[in-house]
Amino acid sequence: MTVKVPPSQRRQPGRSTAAQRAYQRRSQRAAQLGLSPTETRGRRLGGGRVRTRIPFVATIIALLGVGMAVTLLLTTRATEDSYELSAARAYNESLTQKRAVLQRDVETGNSAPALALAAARLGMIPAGQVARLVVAEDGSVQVVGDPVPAQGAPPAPLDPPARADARIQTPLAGSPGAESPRPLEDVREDVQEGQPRPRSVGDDGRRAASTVEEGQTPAPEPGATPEGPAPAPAAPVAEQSTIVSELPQPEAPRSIAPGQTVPPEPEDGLR
Amino acid sequence: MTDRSTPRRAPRRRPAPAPRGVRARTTTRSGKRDRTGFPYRNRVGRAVMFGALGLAVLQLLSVQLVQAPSLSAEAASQRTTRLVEPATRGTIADRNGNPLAYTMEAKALTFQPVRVRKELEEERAKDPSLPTVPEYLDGVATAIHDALGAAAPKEDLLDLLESDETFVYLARGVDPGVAAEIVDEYDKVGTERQDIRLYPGGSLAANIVGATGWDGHGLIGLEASMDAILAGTDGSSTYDRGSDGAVIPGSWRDRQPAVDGSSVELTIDNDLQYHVQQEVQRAKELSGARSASAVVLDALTGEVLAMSNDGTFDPSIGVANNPPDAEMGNLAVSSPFEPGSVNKIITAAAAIEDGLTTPDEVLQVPGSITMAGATVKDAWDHGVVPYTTTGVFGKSSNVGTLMLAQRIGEDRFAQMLDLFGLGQRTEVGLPGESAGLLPSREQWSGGTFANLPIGQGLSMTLLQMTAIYQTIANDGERIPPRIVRATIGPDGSRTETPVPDPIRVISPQTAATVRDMFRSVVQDDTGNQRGTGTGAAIEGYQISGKTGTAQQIDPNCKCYSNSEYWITFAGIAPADDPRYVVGIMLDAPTRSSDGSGGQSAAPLFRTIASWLLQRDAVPLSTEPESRLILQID
Repeated sequence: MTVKVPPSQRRQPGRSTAAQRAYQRRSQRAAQLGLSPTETRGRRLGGGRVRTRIPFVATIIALLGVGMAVTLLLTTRATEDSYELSAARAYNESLTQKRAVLQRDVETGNSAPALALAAARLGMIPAGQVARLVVAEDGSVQVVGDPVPAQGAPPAPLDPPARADARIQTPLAGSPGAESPRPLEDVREDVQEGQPRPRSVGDDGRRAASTVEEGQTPAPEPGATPEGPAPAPAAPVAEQSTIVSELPQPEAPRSIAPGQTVPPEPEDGLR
Repeated sequence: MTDRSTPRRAPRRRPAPAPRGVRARTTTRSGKRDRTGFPYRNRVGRAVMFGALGLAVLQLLSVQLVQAPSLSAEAASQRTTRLVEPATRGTIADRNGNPLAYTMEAKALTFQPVRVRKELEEERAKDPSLPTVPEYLDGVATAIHDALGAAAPKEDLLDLLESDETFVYLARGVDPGVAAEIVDEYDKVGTERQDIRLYPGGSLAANIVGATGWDGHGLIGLEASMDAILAGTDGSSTYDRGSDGAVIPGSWRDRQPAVDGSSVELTIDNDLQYHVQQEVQRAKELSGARSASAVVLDALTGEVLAMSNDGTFDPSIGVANNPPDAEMGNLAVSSPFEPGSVNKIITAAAAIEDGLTTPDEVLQVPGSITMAGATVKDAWDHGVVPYTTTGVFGKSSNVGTLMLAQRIGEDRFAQMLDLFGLGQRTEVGLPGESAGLLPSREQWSGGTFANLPIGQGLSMTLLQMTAIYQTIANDGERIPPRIVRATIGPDGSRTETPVPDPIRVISPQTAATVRDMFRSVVQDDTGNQRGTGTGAAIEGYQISGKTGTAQQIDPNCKCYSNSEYWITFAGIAPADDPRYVVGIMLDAPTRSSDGSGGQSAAPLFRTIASWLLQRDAVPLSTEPESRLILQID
């Protein structure tokens, strides 16, 4: 669009070309509105209309301001939440691990061999042949079999003794599962030392026939009580730690140091 | 191209130093080329600029078009990282849901010796209050050793920490809580997820369950044979990583979630298994046998309730940590043996089924019998004795059994062996199962039929032997035994193992008659009515069973040994309302299973069956109407 510029307004000294053009456009707008160019001087152009626009502009500015404030607030909240979330995730993870460890202790303590060992620790022995009471319809009771007190020794531990050079991991005392009364290893030793019927190991490492000393009733050892001073989780469940010198090398050297940024999930995948 | 040419055009807008024509004139006016003048420099400079621009364009084309694919692939391979999300291995549980093997997430402790030592030196240079490198490494080694004990000797750890490797594993299978404590204290130690397989019962049912190797996959037993079901499928995801190790946002892709392995529920009963395992071990030691094994089947379903052999290893301490003589296999399915007199029940069943005898028929049994040139004697010398059919089996007379077998005939007998499942794998679901050895009918020689009815000349596994008695207990219908009850998918969907089709072997009446006849084995008497397995009797219950004594092969003379025997026993409890079938084998014992004289496995049957009857509160049997007549006085 070309504008016919009056010669009087051409290239006034002290004004840049851009400013010159702006003045031209202003006078043009004034002409279109039917005002004299002089009225535009002193910024009095459409004064009434400007005044009527002030509330609108103020509203827009206020809206923008509120919008920015809300955005800021939400961003801050989101950041705060993400911190809380990651903290909660970490807490959840630690609880999951704790649960797994506790579960392991429960399963171990609940297993038949562990219960048998606990019973052996209390000096309990298998009943063997039992007599049975048969209650007839008229209420009379008949004893079937001869009730005789069980004798003998508590059962020997089920598990074979490990090799002498075995490297079996013992978990750390004070780990989440520390409530379990005693490691089974200790119980095993009690039974083997204190009871007459161990699962014996001959010189050649083979289990030899062992003798049952009839009538010997074992007494629980003082040290075998559950409040013994060895609060550690059950030992044998910890899987064997591979002999360290025989560890296979990883496929490729990892380049992320423990302290460096790692992907947030799955955790520990790289470290 | 345009943006590059723009700055060159721009100076032209400014007032040019000299019009083009002037410059040209200056050059020509001098008559010779002015090598120092501006026009010359301008032209040369422009040529150099254009030349450089041309080179840049060529290189750009080469990089952007020619080398682009290979370069971008190289870049992608540098920044692409694939994360493996390990699947959790399924649990192996007994019939009540008590786990025999399950997986727990643990940690492996990792370390980067070269890098960390350098970092430690740099950090100490900035802050001298920090520990020196040797102090720090010693602290790490001490902490790990204290936590893990003998599995992680301090010297080995220090060797690793001071090595020149870029990456080492300091320990594996560490309790997550323990690992967290170590890493909290020494943040240069890293952790890596590593699943460990836990066996809460130790050696409980280890002969069945087996063990996994260091890679978490099955090594032996069901862990190996069902590895595909248990293992699951690892998931993975891919992301891009900057040179500083930071994840490039939005680059996660190809995410495949891990599919956890299915769990397996066995038909085993943990408590019973423990008792059987304990008693088998005890029997082995008391009897002086080379080995002992026992199988307990549910009489009506054929499910394996317990299966054990002595000397089983303990998978919870790691296969390699077991004593060298620990038994890694499962003898009850892998080791066939000659069953001896236990096999006579097939002759009894066939003879009763075909109406060739009755329990009360009196047979005049001589001291020996000759069949097709082979002379077979009874285990004790006697003249002609009037045994009832019941007595032939109750006293385990070889001669009497062969007399009945002759009535049955070779073909029918061969058919019965087949119907009872001998010479065929039971397909119980355990690895390494043997089919035993049964000579096929065509290969029978003259002496074969003199041997098979008395349980020599053929071999079977203990499971097969027990399954024969399951047939009798289950009113003549053989249900092939199985040990996997169901698989439970990662989504909890349960798939029951289909019950094998039952095989009708004999009629229910025959089965009941045979059960009743074989009560004679455990019948005690001071006179002639005493059976061979009185040690198996349980007061208040009717017990039906059979003892067996089979001669082993002496490798020196390649003949049947007269000193080493397979001592077997198979029995049904209670005989009037069968619930359990127990099979026992002692390999070359010198005493009975309870340490008493003679060689008998009957006391072990009594221990196991009595425990079961008591545990399950099985009602007492009705008193039999009369005592069985074994021998006419």
